Amino acid sequence: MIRINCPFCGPRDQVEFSYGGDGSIVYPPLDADATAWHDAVHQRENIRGLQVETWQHVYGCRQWLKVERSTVDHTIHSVRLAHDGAAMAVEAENGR
Amino acid sequence: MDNFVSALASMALPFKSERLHIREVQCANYLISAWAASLGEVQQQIAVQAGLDQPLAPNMGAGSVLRVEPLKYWWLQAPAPTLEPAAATVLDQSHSKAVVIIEGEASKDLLNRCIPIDLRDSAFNDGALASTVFHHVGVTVWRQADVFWLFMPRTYAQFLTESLLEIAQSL
Ligand SMILES: [Zn+2]
Repeated sequence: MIRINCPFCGPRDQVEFSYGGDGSIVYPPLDADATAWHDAVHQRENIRGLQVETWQHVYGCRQWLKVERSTVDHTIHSVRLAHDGAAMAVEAENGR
Repeated sequence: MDNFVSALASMALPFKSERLHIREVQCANYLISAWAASLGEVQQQIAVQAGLDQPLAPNMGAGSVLRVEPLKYWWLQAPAPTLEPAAATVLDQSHSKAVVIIEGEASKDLLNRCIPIDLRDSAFNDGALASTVFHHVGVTVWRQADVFWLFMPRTYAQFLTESLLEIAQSL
């Protein structure tokens, strides 16, 4: 069982989250050619080690998170709200 | 909130045993959504209009307002607060939830069998709230003193309440 330390909710069980996918992908402009889109949508590194991925705390605060997780031992190294505005607001509050 | 129709009319509520009391409550529910840029202002406005000493911390409720998401609140009584549309939107979602209040010394025993949340006082005390999962259904639990409010999606409320009552028999 993975537990993810949600910046808003605190540590919660994996059952409350939904896995999004590779969080490092930068999508090309809408008018980019088919190859660029093909690569962005389908080509993935099969990382052994630390990977940035998106998870949604769908049964909790419903926020999308950016999680750094080791694919070797599932250790989670960092968790941040994916929405920059919400992330800054919550970080400011947590630091209060 | 007009024309309240109970989602739990067919259930054996209120439930009373020596150690538990479960009852349905009719409860307004206005969803307030702020923007990241207006959060500070909305935090203040809500505190003032709800008569709170300080703005609500994440996953806390006080009076009758709950901070359920970074930028969202539930306001549990009519009328809804008055907020500038540029700062926050207000949506009446009262009819989307069924709400029960769970009281008694076995309240935590009951909820511990339903949701994966640490309910000990050290982790979940007066005012704490958690949105979580109860048998694959998203629910929200709020602790007010020694009473637990359970907010369930209307269409799953009978199913979940049946489970609650079934478990309550054994406590
Ligand atoms: Zn969360």
